[in-house]
Amino acid sequence: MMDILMRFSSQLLSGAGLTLQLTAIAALLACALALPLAIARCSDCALLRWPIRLFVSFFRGTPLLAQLFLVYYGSGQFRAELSQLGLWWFFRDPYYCALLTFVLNSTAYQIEILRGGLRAVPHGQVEAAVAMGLSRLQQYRKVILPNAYRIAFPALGNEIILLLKGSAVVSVITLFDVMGQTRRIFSQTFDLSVYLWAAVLYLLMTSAFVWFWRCLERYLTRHQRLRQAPATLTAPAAKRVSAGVSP
Amino acid sequence: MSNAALQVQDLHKTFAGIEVLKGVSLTAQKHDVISIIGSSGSGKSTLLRCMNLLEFPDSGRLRVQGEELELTPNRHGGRSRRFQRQIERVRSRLGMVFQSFNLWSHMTVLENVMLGPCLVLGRNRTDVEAQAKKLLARVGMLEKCQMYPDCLSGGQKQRVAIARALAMDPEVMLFDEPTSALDPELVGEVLKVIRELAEEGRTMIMVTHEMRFAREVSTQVVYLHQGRIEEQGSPEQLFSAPQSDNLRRLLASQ
Repeated sequence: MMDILMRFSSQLLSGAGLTLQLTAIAALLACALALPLAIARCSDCALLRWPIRLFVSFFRGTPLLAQLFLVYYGSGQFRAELSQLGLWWFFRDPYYCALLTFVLNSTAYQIEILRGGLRAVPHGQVEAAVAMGLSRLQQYRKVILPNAYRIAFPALGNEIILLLKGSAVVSVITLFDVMGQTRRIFSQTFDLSVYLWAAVLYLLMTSAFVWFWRCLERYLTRHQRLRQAPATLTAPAAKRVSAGVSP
Repeated sequence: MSNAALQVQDLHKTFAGIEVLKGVSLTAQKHDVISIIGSSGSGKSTLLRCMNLLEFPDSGRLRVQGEELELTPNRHGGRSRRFQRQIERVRSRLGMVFQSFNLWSHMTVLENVMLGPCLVLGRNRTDVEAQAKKLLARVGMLEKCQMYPDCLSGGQKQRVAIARALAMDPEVMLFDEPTSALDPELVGEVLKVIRELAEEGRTMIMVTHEMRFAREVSTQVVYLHQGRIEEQGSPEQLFSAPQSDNLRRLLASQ
């Protein structure tokens, strides 16, 4: 069992590299796309809302594998047209196809997560910003988004973990991520334990991510835990307790 | 009357077919302290919220320091960018204090107070910080300036909210039932701050249920009943010799 790990560790690690790369790039791009779309999804204008709703229901309602096949094999049907448009280099590469699929899929999920976050922003805090004369952009920057992202944060982490594990499907379109490498090693050695090592590798990656996300979350929600922000030089020492303070 | 700090004329507002304001006119001269009283549902809060356009009146006129706002018959979304700018400018000159404080929970007390002047007025950060600390000291909250709102009691939050509104150096302060969400023992500390503001001559309009307080600090009291001003005058007039039956009933129930 150990010897197979020793023999193929470099392949497995390079697979892990590809898995992490795909997940990270897709998650970041999706994050950038999801924000404006989520805001548009909440707008009063039905013409903005409906296309986004359709997009979200499609990508949430169909399997990731089917989406990947649609992009990768489906684009082959339009090879002539895509060549004419100068896009064939993109669609003939399984890596780009996988990336595109993941970005679209994750964007759909993140839109829904952010929409929930935006809706849960305490209305009074927005009103206080409005009453002070903040412009719409300033309201978003200073009050709405900081609140919305804090609310959405755990769910966003969850979505990224799902994306990381879901990325295993790229092994069927000839990419050598962790799963792809594992399948290749298995076909060479017929040693089932390599799947165990693949599982361990996934577990390590998700655990590391969960830990990282939790640290970030603790930092972002410090206002809900700390009695006092990290002392700055200008902070006066609390000597006197004002009347009427509950301990 | 054009030098009035704030003036509303013939304000009408309807929510879901119910007419909440049926033509209210009110003028606040500089240094006026106007208390708006009335039973719940009389439209007090709506009137106050129409003054800084948190609610858009259906019709009527609004004038802040001589600047008239074009309240086009309420077409939502149909507001021009220029009009939006004007609204923002007017709002920044009216300090609002809410019943439920509405402090920004992810910012420290100091950041709460500093945000408006820095962002809306575009003032220098160090000046703003010095001024913010002075204001927090005034409301007795300087020691807590690095804390987050979640760590404060209701009375403390409201005092910070008052400092936050004062930081914009507003022409008129609007108070929307500032003590109604507080435990009884915390009401005093907030009223004390408001009283000091009244004594230094700030122009204030206040929706309140604290009748005794209204009587002590106001220069003028307005009694609102079912969307209309039913009685208006000096506090002595209204509280000692109320003319309307409804007001008499309200005062008796206190």
